[in-house]
Amino acid sequence: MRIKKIEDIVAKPITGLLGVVNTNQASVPRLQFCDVILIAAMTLSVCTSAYSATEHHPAVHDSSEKVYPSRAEQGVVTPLAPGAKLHKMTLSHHELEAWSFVPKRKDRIEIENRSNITHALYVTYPDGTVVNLEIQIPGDIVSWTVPDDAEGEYVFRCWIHPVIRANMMIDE
Amino acid sequence: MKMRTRLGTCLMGLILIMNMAVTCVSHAGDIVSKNDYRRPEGIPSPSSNPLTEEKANLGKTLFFDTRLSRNNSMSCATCHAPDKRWSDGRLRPLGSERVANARRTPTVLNSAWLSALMWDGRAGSLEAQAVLPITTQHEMNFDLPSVVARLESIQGYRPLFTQAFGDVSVNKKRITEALASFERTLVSNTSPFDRWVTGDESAISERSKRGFKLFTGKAQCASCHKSWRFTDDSFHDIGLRTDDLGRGAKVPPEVTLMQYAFKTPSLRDLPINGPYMHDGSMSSLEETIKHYEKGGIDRKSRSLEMKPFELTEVEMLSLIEFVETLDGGPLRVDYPKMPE
Repeated sequence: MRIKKIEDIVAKPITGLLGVVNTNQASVPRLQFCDVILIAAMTLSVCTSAYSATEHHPAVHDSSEKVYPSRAEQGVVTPLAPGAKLHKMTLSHHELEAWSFVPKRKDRIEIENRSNITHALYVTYPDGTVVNLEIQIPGDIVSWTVPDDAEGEYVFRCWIHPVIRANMMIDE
Repeated sequence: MKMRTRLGTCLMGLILIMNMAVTCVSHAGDIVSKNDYRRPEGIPSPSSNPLTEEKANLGKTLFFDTRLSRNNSMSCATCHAPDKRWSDGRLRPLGSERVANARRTPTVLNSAWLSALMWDGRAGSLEAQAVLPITTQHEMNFDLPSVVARLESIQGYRPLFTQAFGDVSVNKKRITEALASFERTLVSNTSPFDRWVTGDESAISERSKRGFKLFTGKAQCASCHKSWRFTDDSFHDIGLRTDDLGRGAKVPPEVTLMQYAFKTPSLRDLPINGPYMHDGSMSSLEETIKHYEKGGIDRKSRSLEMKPFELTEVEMLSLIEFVETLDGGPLRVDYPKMPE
């Protein structure tokens, strides 16, 4: 639906532009179909970038940047333990998408927020320990490293959106 | 050469368009349409407490019974009154001993779908929630063993418990399961908006339709007021002036975003003159929308979904008219006869 809207907006000025060009052929070169496509694409590109900058781009959330540590400070860049694997999970809107990997002790799990809302995930260990994964603005990635002695069910939830819940079994 | 250049330009354009289309589709995943607000077919209930008519009947009687409070003056329906959209119409509720509560009474309509209850989410199920008002000092101020003893002494409850659970035994689990079962049956009537969602274009006015567009677009209400109940069942600090930490008092303090955060209330069947907000501090939809326009107090905990915007007077009226289409009218209630 949004694509259609953007196309509608873009189409009008281009049609208008063609009309002007056609009536002034002597001074301005006539636009060809390929030129029109290129102009349309460039205009679309500008429209979508603007949309991203105001609604989706993490950079616009300055308050978050002021308050929360960077991913590097959160330890995301720490090298993996020898033999450990890096797994990826996705947070789409109000759901942690199903994963197919089998997590092992010391593995790192990166979770990318692909929704347009902010999340605050935490992991509850079998003994009740709660580990926060930091605030996650749209597009951000947080990570959790499976503990050395992990065994049992680890539950991922969001402080902001309690409906988000995923249970992960670790067998060693 | 000229042909090659044109072909190249055309190709570049097409690649760019395709690239943009892919980007837009991924954004489109987050775009809200009226179909996202379609009503569900049935009422959900947990496998541990499947919904039955008998349990709901017992729960209904308990819900209206003032003997569930210590001084026999207050039932669940005192604060969740059918004629007040299952709230109490007060800025702050009064407990059985006339003690004022700190937060406005939320409606129990459509609570079958809730994943976190109470303004701060401290109850994870309707069954868990049902205990809280009965035992809270500033509400019904009773204790469960005493409630059980009192109900056991009322002969008229025996057939109701037997029909619901198979025997006359009264216990905390059965009381809360019955209350939760009744609450699950409280579902909003079909509203004009629902009829529009299912295809009746004449169900709401053109101005309301423009209001819906604002709701899901410029005013960004749909960032939190989503699903057919118009809530994300989540918690946000919307920048209100308050000392109440809300969910912040229930989660680790480092989760800054939860300080002063309260659950997003549903927008269905709103009492037209409020009160609105967790503390009943607003009394009109216009006042509420103006708060969101400005964005409230800018502090570390303020929700990142709070993005100030500006509406014209006409847009404001459209948005309000749209919210009014979510009203399906009061539920018809046959009040139960109290067992003796």
